[in-house]
Amino acid sequence: MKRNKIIITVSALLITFITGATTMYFLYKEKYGVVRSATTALTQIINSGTLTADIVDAAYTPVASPSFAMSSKNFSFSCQSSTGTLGTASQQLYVQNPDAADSGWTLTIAATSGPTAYWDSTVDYDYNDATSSGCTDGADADSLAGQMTIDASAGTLAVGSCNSCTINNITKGSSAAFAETSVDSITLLNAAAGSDDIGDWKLTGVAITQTIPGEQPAASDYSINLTITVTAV
Amino acid sequence: MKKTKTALLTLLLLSLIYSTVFAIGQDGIGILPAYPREDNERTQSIFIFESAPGTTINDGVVVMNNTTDTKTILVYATDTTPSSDGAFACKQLSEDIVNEGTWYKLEESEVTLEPNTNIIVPFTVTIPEDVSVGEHNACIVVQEKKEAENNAGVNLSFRAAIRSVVTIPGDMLKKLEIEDFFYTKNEGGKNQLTVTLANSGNVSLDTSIKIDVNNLISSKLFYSNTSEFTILNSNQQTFNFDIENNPWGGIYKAVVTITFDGQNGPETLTKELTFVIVPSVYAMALYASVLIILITAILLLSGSKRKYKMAVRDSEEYIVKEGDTLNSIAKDHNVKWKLLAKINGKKAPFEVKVDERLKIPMVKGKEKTQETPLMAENNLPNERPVIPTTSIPTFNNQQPEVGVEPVQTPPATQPAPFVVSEPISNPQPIPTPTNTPQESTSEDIIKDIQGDITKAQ
Repeated sequence: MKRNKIIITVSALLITFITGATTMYFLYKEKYGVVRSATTALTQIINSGTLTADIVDAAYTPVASPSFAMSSKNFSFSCQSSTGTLGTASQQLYVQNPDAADSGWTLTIAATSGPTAYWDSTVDYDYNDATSSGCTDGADADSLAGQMTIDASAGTLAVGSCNSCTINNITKGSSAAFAETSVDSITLLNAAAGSDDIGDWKLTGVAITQTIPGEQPAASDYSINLTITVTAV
Repeated sequence: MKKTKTALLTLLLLSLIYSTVFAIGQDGIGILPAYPREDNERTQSIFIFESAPGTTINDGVVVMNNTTDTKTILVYATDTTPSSDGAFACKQLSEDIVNEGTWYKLEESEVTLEPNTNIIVPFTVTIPEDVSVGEHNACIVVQEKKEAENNAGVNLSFRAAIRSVVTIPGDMLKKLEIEDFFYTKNEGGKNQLTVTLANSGNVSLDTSIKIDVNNLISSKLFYSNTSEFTILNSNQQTFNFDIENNPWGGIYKAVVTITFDGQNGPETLTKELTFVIVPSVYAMALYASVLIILITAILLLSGSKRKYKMAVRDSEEYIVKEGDTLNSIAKDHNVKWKLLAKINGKKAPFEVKVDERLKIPMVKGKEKTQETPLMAENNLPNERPVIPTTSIPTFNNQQPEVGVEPVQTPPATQPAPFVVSEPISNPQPIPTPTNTPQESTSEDIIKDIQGDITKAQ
């Protein structure tokens, strides 16, 4: 019994020593960058980071299949609008610049299929027909009505996990509606050369409004694919 | 022995919890120029080429997979497309390439990369013979290859791109103008200043945009910001600047100053704007309260002045007798002694002298005076002892506040419209008005007097 006690005590001391030494090592390394040693050469490789955009949760973990729903509407003989929000507390629009775009960058959103995209279901409707603000089909290539408006300026831009970063020199895009051939892409953010070279930012509360033409059949599976692009400029 | 093992295991687990935890950042898929030039730092982020028409450039792009999964990545060149506000954007993979994007030929269109690995994809840029002088932009893009999602609602995908610019040497035209500068309160309730710049030249311009906002009333600097943006050639770009809110509102003057390297050296453009920030509802309620208080105070003040003027105008004359004090005279005539002192120019110690003529303001609703000027002139008897000079009256600050309103009577120089034949030994106390005092006019007084005469007859 006494022997066991000795073993436990010695083990505890050993573990405490090892843990403490390890912690000290990392703390020293964090402070001075290197740990001098007469016999050991330590190396550290940090891969180049990339300018990226993603949807992350509150803990900055990427969301696997990011999507968001527009407000549901009842069937109507009249033109109506549904609304949605891009960027919420649990699905934040996230941009990371680990020294990859020193001259600035833009964050834009566009339909993955380009100007010919539409809200897909049994009976489709459009996302970029500017005629009567999307209430009637116009002179674009398809025969669908409907228009989507995105207002980044109504959103909130904040610094992400970077403690020393600011949102200075990053502007939010104006409210804009998709219009075939003239507005195929909408600006969410525009970062100037003076923005932080190393930083991360989150954008929430981007207002989205979709005009739904009158007599659009009821369906629960209307969908559209949008692509968000972050571009070093 | 078993207990020992359990104890050791517990200790090990505890030590693991105790140990410092190091977070590992999650990165994504991206690209960088493979061969940045030392003479141009920008080439670390984007492709910048300068070459003559008909030439071919060889370069490469680093495609990176900094995720923890193996990824198949599409890599392609595409045309640019003006985004809203004129920001730089790239066309989608699904769209036809018809402009500068056609100049680029990448050796790979897709690569499969293990976690935290990268690869250089070589490419060539073939510049057509008939291309115009100036800058020509295109994009090189990477995105994960995956099936499109078809969930109900909006499905989102992400990609990363870098701008690639080819400058064709020749006459460079640098021309920039401030197209618009205005203030708005956007749908999110944020105050915003918007600047639109138009670059009608053939090269992009590195531009400094400085905005200063001053409060026009206090002349204090309310907001200041300087940003440096690249304005693309043959393009209009709009920039929105959120300015802080001032719940108290105010009038502001904003000045935008644009500095850029123009055709003949540094050039500066400026534009001014005056705008109003509307106060918040709470501030407006407060302002309204203060305004109401001010108006009430002004009205009260003007009313008081008007009363004084009327009191002076509509006064009767009284000749001071022995034993009178200002206070007793005021009491007898049911007026405030302060008013009496004021209209007669009396100051502390408020002395009155025998035979001194005092103006007595007429009191609204006052019954016929117990002592008219005529009575005083006729030396009608009074109960008070007459002493040569009155002393300082004992002022009672709690004198009744009613019945101060003056009434109009015939001028003191004219004879009174009625005569009291018997001396008044005991002046009747003036009844306190029970109704809300109302201002009497001269006509009202005359009517009252005429009524009294009729009664006497």
